[in-house]
Amino acid sequence: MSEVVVECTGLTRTYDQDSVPVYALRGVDVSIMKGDFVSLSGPSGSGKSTLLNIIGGLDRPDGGEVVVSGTRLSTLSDSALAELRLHKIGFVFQAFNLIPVLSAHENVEFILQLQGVGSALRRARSTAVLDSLGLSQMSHRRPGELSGGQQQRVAIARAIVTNPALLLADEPTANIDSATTEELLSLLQKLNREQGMTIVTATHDPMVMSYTTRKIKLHDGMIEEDESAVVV
Amino acid sequence: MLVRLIGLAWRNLWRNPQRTWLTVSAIAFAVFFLVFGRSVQTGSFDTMIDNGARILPGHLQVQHVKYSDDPRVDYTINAAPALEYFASRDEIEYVSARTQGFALASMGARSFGAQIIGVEADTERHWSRIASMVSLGRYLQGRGEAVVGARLARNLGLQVGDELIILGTAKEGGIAASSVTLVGIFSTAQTQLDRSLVQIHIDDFREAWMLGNNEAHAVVVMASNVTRSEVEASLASTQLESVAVLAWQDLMPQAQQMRDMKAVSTQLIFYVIVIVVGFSVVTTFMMIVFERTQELGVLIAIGMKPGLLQVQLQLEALFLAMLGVAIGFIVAVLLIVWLEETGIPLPVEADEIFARYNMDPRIYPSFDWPALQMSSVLMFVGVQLAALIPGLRIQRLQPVEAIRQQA
Repeated sequence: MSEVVVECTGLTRTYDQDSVPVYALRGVDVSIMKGDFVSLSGPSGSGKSTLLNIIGGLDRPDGGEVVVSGTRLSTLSDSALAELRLHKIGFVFQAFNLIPVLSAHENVEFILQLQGVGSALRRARSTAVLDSLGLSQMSHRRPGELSGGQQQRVAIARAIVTNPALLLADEPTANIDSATTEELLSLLQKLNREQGMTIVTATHDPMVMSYTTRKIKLHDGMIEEDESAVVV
Repeated sequence: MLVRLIGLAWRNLWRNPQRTWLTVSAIAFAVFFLVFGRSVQTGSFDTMIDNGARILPGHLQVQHVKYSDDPRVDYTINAAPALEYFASRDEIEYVSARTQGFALASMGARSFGAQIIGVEADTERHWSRIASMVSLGRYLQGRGEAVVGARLARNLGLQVGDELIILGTAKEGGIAASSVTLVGIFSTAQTQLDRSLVQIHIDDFREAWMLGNNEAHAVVVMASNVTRSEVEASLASTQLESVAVLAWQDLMPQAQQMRDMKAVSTQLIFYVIVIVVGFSVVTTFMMIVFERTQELGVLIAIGMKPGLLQVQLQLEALFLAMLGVAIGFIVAVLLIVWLEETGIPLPVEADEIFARYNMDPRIYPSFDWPALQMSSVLMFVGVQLAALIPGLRIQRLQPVEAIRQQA
């Protein structure tokens, strides 16, 4: 039986918008197994980003429980949540969000520094990841000197360099062209297939969904469809 | 990690060079103002004190222990040890003995009370402003001569070449009598001195007041500068026995009070400047945190703790302070070094007054190390505190909201 990486039970989340309650999640139950490549899709306001943020410990639910790699997130302080994100979860954001004053290599290495990894191992691991993503030639460049696709690849390198149990990507292809999108999706697919990395991505993009092995569709804060697919 | 944070902080500063330079300039200006302002103030105080000392009291005096409180003619000292001691000191420019007492100064039928000072004219002529303030005639050259203040000369109807009779109470109750020829009249612009002061040769005084060869009421000392005189006074008090060593603060207490009062008001101005600069730094860091909210949110999202972000912000503040203090200090030092040689000219009106009394109509800044230490500490602490305030926003930052802010 496959290992459960994420277990969500009865998740609810309500926001106040001009004193009017907006129900972002209304009792979501979902389990994500090790090796899943999951897309969370749905129209704007369906709750996909909220669910992603709660799974990543960036937001807290009003009700329900999230367990990531056996750790109940509700029991953790903000500091412990930060520690969990640092060691177990990789993030890829829509706007890349690299540190502009650091080079590609330094951006990737930075997260290992936060983990307290020694300099030799840090250098070796970040170089290996950048090489594997075809970024070795531009590792000394700063984000401003890279294209959108290259920046997103560096962001993926930063997210996976720590070998996280879970990779969360929020609209990772929203700011890049379709050719680069395919290239990135192939890369994520490769990480999922060859390294067994568990990936959850929130997306509107049908092309992204075509690469995932499990498609969860949300509507009005509830799961409307949850289908697994056999990827050819 | 600290090395990476230091590098990151330094690079972050140059993301907006104009803003960084503006903030650095504000800090540099404050340091410059503090160091230069205090140095000019110290220099002008030193000039004021030096000018005051040169009119009569000197930088420091050695007296009988009771003389300062009760200036009786009997309270004399043996001047020889003090003269010998100060003559051997490198930083002492002039030292001489003085005798002094109160007497009646008469010319014909007119008599007025006067303070008679017996001086070693050959030494005092080199530093005493009395010698350079003689407006009629000349200063003392030998025995049997006297110079008097302009108002006393007028009151007595004295003219250069007239005989002046001095009658007083000598040591052990005897009568002190002397007849001297007026060779000069001086104007100090200090009414009290011009109305009552008479200077005669010290040996004439000793003879009239029946004092021994080495007996004196004071040994008057001029050091190379005011600050040095303070050191010399302190040293002499440990070296010379059974005498009182009076520094300029004891001899001119009003000058000391004025200096203290000015220092307090200047201190207040300095604090106001530091507060203004502090606000400018707070504004800068508010903008930095606001502009980087999304980036800070991402860093928290990937696992960086807000405490480390605060450290990074404090490091940026440290670099700003270091640059500002260094630039402010260098500019202040260069200007002070230059002005220590050339001086700052006073306005024309003051220039004329100073020229009349043969005083230097310029202020020479005197480098004030405590001002540098104080301004550096104030700036480093102030800037760090200023960076703490916007840092509170980081502590409260919610990563989801922060990432969304500019996305």
